This record gives sequence, structure tokens and C-alpha cells, in this order.
Amino acid sequence: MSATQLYPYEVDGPGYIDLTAMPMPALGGKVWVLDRKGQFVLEKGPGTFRTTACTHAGSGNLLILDGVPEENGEFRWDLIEKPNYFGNGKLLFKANPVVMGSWMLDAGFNHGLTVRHLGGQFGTPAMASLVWVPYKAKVK
Amino acid sequence: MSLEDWGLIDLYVPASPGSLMRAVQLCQNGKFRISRRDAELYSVQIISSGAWAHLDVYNGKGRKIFPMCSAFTGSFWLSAGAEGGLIVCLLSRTTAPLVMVNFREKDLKVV
Repeated sequence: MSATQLYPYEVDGPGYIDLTAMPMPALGGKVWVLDRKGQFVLEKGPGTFRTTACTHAGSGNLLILDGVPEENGEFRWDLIEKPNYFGNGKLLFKANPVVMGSWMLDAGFNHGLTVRHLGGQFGTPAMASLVWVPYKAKVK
Repeated sequence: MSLEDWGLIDLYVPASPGSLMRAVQLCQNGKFRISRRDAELYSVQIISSGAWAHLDVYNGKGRKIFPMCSAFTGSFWLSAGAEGGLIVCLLSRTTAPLVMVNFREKDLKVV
């Protein structure tokens, strides 16, 4: 398996782990702690990706993309790597290898929000708090 | 394991008129509940990493929202929602880390 391929537990399903059901808190943004390898869909609509607070680099790479994967669990890398591409899968943040630090972005996304942490050893993931705010989010 | 079994130490952190921001500095090992209602974890600042130290921040329901498995100095801005409050856990073999946590609640009340 190459460093860019998905792990088997994701290939058997939709190709990602869906975290979009997380409720919107009354104050502040949604937060989720990345502590495993894989591909995670945090949001399926527009919003603002606020920050990555990475406290352990682990191994592998970390991609944060404006969009959601296609049915095969992958993005259109042939398009994403072209200049001036603003469609599904536009890169918001790329760290290869992962670097510890407080990476403040406040970056807007249109198509969704996906975090892809792959490569390196499966048992040595990075640890990071990811914070984002969906557009016009309502507190339930 | 419920939160009742965590052995939490309750700390009451006031805010001043003019800003809803609250700040608390922690410098000993333990599990400190610094907020007991919905809050926004604004930032975590590690001023001294202590010795063999580890720290975690949880929301009031026990869900981890900021991990640091090996403490190092730095300032981490989060602006993260914390449902039901904030709990800060400091752990070290000898010297605890020196940590400042900034957070907001919806008003100036001390609850």
C-alpha cells in the first residue's frame, strides 16, 4: 500500500469517516481532536476553517481540503494540482510531513471540509485540535 | 467512568466588565474544572513545559478538545466550543507545566 492510499477500513465503506453530525456549540466553533490516521469529512457545506493546533507531529502528512471526496473516496487530484483550481477539493492546508504548531487560518471553504491524514506508520498519527465554524450555523 | 469519579478540583474564574474573557494560570498537577457551563476555549498557553509533563483540556462532558501528550511551550489559539464547561488536566512526574487558559462564557456571572 502506498503512502497516499486509503486504509482498508475506509475503502470498505464510503472512503471516509463522516463527522458532520457533530452539534454546533453555543459559544465558539466546532472542535474535533485528530488522533488517528484516515480521511475525515467534517462538514458538507460552506464555512470557515479556523485553526489546526498540532501538538504532536507523529508521521505522515496532513491535508485539509475545501470539499468532500467523490464516490470512490478520492478527490480529483489531476484537477486539484492545477493552478487556479477553485472547485471541490481545493487545498486549504498541506503539511508534509506534519509539523507541530498553532496554524491559524480562518480560511473560508465552499464545498465542504475534509481532513486527510495518511502516510507514514499507521500507529503513529499526529495529534491536533481542529476548529471550524459552519456558515450560518444554528445551535440546537 | 463518570465525571464524578475524576476527582475534580473546582476553580472559579471571574471576568471583568469590559471583556468576557477569563484567564486562569495553573501550575500543579491535578484535574481542574475551570468552567461549569457552555464556554469558548479561546487559547491555551504553555509557559513552562515542566518535566515529563502531559496536559489535556476536556469539555464539561468529558470529551477531549485539546491534547498535549508531551508538553512543550507555545501559544495555541483555538476559539473552540466547550459544551458544559472546561476541565484542564495536568500530569507530570515531577514538575508540573505552567499553563494559562483563556476562555469566555456568555456573561459575567461566576457560576
